Amino acid sequence: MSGPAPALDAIRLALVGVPNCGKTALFNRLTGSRQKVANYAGVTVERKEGSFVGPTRGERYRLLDLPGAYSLTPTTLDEAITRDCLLGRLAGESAPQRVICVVDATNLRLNLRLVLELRDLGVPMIVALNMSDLAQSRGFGLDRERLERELGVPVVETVAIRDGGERVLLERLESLPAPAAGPTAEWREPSFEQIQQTQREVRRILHAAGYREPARNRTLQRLDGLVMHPVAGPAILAALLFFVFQAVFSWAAVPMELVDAGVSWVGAKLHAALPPGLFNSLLVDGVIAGAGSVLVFLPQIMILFFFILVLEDSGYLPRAAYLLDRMMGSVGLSGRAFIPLLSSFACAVPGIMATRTIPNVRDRLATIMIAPLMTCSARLPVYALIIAAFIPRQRVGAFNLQGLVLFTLYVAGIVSAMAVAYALKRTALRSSYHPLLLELPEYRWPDLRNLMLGLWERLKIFLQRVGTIILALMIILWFLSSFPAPPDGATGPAIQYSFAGSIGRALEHVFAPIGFNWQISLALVPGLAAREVAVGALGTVYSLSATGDDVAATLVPMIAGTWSLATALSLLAWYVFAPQCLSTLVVVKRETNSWRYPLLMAGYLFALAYIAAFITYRVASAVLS
Amino acid sequence: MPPVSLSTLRKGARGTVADVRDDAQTLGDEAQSTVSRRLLELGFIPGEAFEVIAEIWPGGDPMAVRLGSTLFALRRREAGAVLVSVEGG
Amino acid sequence: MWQAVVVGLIVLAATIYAAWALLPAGLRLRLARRLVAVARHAGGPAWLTRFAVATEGSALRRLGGCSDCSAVQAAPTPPKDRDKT
Repeated sequence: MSGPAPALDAIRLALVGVPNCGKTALFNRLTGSRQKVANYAGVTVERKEGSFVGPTRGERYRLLDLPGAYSLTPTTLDEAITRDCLLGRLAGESAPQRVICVVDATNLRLNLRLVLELRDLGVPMIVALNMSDLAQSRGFGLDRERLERELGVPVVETVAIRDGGERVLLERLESLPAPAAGPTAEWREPSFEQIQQTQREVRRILHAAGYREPARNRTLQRLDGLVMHPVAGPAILAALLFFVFQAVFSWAAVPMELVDAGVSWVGAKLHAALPPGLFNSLLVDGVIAGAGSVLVFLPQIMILFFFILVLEDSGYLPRAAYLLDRMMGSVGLSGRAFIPLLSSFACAVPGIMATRTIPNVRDRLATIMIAPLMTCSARLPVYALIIAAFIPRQRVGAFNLQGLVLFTLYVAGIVSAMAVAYALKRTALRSSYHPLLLELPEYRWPDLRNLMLGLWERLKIFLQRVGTIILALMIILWFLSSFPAPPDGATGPAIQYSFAGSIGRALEHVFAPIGFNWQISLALVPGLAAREVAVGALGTVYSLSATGDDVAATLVPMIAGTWSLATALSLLAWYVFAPQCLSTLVVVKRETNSWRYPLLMAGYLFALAYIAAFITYRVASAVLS
Repeated sequence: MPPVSLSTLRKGARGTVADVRDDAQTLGDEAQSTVSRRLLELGFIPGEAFEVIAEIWPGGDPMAVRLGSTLFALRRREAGAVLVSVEGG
Repeated sequence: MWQAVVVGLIVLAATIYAAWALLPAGLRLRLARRLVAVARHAGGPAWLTRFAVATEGSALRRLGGCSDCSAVQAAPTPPKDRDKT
C-alpha cells in the first residue's frame, strides 16, 4: 500500500513459533491490513512484514512474520530463513530488536524448547501463550506466573482467532528493556547432549509451573483409531473425497438453476428493452452471456471451498498425508507433498507456494511440476458445463451419475499426477531418501467465524474476478466476434465473418484432429488468462451465433445440441491436462527462479492434453458410431 | 529388557524412550544425523513415554506414535534411530 | 451513432484493463511508477496523481490474471522491484 515509508526508528520486531501454533492469525490481528509482502534477498521465500503503533507509548513497530520453525537448526529453507534472520545473517536484513515467541498452550512440551533456544540468544523477548482458551477448556493446567518466573521472560495469554490478549501483549511488549543491537550471545549448533539438556530443562520448568496435561479425549482417540486404521483409514479418505464431489453437484443443483434463470431473465429483458443494435448486443451477448455463464457456477465453487476450508482447519489433512505416504512413496514423493497438492484443488498457485515446506529441492520441484494436474477449482465450470450437457442426471445405485463422472475426472487428474511424478523421479529428479517425520496436530472444530470469513473472502474474490478480468475479456471477445460485420447478402450468423471467426477457423486446423470445432478452439484462447473464462467465451460465441428465437437459450442446451459426445469427452480429457493458466506459470517461474521450468511444464502439459484428447476422441468416435 | 529399536514395534506397543542413535549405519545416509537431531528436538528423549497407535498395511510403514501428548507420523527407517524400553516385557 | 461511441469506449476500457492485468508484474510496476512520475511532474490535477498512486499500489499487490486470491495476495513482488529498506 502506498503511504509514508516506515519510520527509520521503528522498532524491529519478529514473530517466531513452531508450525501450527496460530502465529499467522495473531500476525493478522496485530497488523490488520497494514501488511507488505516481498521477497527475502536472493531466495523465493516470502517475507511478510506489517506495522502497528504501540497502544500506550505510541511507538512504531515493524513486525516480521518469520516462517514456522521447530528449531534454530534448520532442515528446510523456511527454517533456515528464520534462523538467519534472527541472527542477523540475512543480506539486507538487520536482526530483529525484539521477539514475540508464539507458543501453543496445548502443546507446550513441543513448543517450549524453542523458547529456551531463543531466550539464550539474548534478544529481548515476550512469550505469547496462544490458544489459551482452548487449553483451558480441554483441561490443561498451568501457572502462568510461575512459568514466567521460571523462564525469565514475560508470558502473556492470547487467543489468536478472536479478540483478546493483544492489548496486554502489546503493553508488556512496550515495557521490555530497551532494544538491543541484536543477539548478544553467539549461536552455535547445539550438540546432541546440549539438546537433551535443554529438553530436560523444559520438563523441569513445566513441572515447576504446574503444567498438567489432561488425558486425551476418549472420543478423539477412538476417532483416530478409525481415521488412521490401516484398512478403514484409506476407505474413509476415499469416501470423504467421494462425498465432497457428490455434494458439489447435488447441493448446488437448485442454487445453480436459480442463478441461471436469473441470468437468462436479465438477458431477455435487456434484449427486449433496448433498441436493437451494437449496445444491445454488447450487453446481451457480451456481458450477460459471457460473464453470466461463469457466474452460474458460483454455488459449486463455494461448496468446494467450504469443504477445503473445513478440512484444512480440522486437523485431518496431516493424517491424510500419513495415509497417502505409501502411495506417494511409490512414485517417489513424500506424504508431505500431499498438503500442497490438496491446496492445488482450490488453485494451483497457493499449492505451489506451499511446496516451500518440502525440504528436498528435487522433491519440491517434482511436486511443483505435478501441482497443475490436481484439478483446480477453475476447471470446475468447464467440467460442470460439459457434464450438465452430456451426462444424464440419473442415479446409479445410491450415487448421482454426474457426481460420479466428476469424481472420475478428479481421480484422472490425481492418477496422471502420480504417473508424471513417477517418470520425473525416475529420471531427471532422482533424489536420496528423505524422512517423513510429520506432526499430527489435534483435531479441531473448524471455527465457524473463520469459516464464514474464508467463504466470504472467496465469494468476493470470485465476483471480483468475474466482474473485472472475465468481464473485460468477454467484452473484447464480443468486439472481435462482431467486427468486421458480415458483407451484404451473407447467410449464417455474423460471427463467422468476424476476426474471432477467422481466428477460430485458423485454430481449428490445429484442433480438428481432436474433435474441437472452431468455437471451442477460439474459446481456449481467452482461457489462457483463467480457465473458467473458456466457459464465458463459449457463452458469448454461441450467443452471437444464435439467430432469432434462440437468443434467450442458455449454453447447456446449445452445446448438447451441436456437439457430439466424442467431442465433449475429448474436451474433458483435454482439460484434465491443459496448462492454460498464466498465473500458475508465473508463480512457478518465481518459485524456481527461472523460465525453464514453467516452459517445460507448459510444454509437457500441452503435449499430454493433446494426446489424451486425441485418443479419447478417436476411441469415442469409433465406439459411438 | 534391553532397549529395542522403535522400528521393530507394532501397533499397541508402549514404553519409554531410552536413546536416539546418531550413526550413519542405522539410517544409511550422511544426512541422517539431521534426522536424529530433529527427533531429539521433537521430544524423543530418554524417559519420554510413547505408544505406537497406528500403522499402515502392509508392512506397518509408516507408523504413528504418540509421544507424551503429541502425535507423530514417521517411517520405520527414521524410527530405527530411536531405542526404547518396552513396557510389559 | 451514440451507440457506436459508447460501445467503442467500453471496448477500449476493457482492452486497456485486460492488457494491464495480463502484463508481467515487473513491467506493470515500472509502468505504474512512470505514470506516478509523469503525474507529479506535469503538475496535473490532483485526481490524476491520486489515480496514479492508487494504480501503483495495485500493481504492487497484483500477481496476474488470478487476481487478489487471498493466498496469492501473499505472494512476493518481483525481486528487482523489492523495496530497499
